[in-house]
Amino acid sequence: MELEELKKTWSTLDNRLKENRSLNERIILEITESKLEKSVQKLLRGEIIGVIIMFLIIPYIIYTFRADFISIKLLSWTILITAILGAILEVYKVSVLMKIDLSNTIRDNIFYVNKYKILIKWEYFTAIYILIPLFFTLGFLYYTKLKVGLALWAFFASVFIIAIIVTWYSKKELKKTFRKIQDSLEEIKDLKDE
Amino acid sequence: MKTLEKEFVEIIQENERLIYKVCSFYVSETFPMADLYQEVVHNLWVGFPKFRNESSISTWIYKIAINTCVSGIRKEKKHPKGNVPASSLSEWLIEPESLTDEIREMYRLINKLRTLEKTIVLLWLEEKSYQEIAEITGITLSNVATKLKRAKQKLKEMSNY
Repeated sequence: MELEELKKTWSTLDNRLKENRSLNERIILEITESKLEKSVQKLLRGEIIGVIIMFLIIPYIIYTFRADFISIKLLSWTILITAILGAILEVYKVSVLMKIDLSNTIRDNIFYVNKYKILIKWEYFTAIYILIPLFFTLGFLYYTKLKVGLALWAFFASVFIIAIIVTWYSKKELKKTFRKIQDSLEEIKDLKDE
Repeated sequence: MKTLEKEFVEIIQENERLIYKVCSFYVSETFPMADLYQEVVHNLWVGFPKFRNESSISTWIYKIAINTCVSGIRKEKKHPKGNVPASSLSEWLIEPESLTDEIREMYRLINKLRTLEKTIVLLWLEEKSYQEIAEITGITLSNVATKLKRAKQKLKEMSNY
């Protein structure tokens, strides 16, 4: 084979490859699917940790339950009910996330992602507009009743500042993960439609 | 705004033939086409966020693809990433052996060359200038000329047998 022949053969190969348009589609699909799986796994890990924490916290709340006077009684009941409802919600969110499976249709997966998104939306809405203000008010009443010192007031303020920061940060992170999941789902849908 | 992933997918789609051709030069029994292709795409994806447009996109792809095929695969073989199962890819990729007699003969000759000579011949076949070959392989211009001349000579001699 002469060198010119070699070049000709090379361009023949190139032309054959040009005709094979779907050379890459499968690998891209697999990469996107793996990216989707990773994002869902990230959410699932977080929720499973949430379930474990909730189930560890509930016995502790019951153990430290106090009903000495009205504000602490209200605070204790609010914490206990919130923890129980939170644990139920966590378990439900895990079950929704576990339904996201690549063997499902894209439509089903979009449905479960949106379902999970709605749950998260409600969770944040409740935390930001109901729970944080409620705990703040009840805690404030309790501390006022106890006539606590400056150090405990500083602790009280710090807890709420940290709660607000954690809520804001986790909301931002979740938004990013949702974006990734939605992009991957759209990408998979496009690739499968083609 | 275009996501990084979408941008990457588009680049891969535009350059799939390039990646395929580079991989086809280094295919062996130990490293079949699908494995090499998978590794190259994986390494391109890892390096993509750091790509700064200092060189052209094709030069960057050549560099990563050649480096992966020449050395990367050996290292990665010990720690498989498990991103894309290679077995599931082979059915979508053409093994060079399944091509025509002429193409097979071309690969037979090329496989007799040393790794660096192989790389230089690949880039020469891709109509790359000496400057570009030097940039991709990281050797000097004069070295490119010498090695290419030697490789061409070898190919000529081999094809006479």
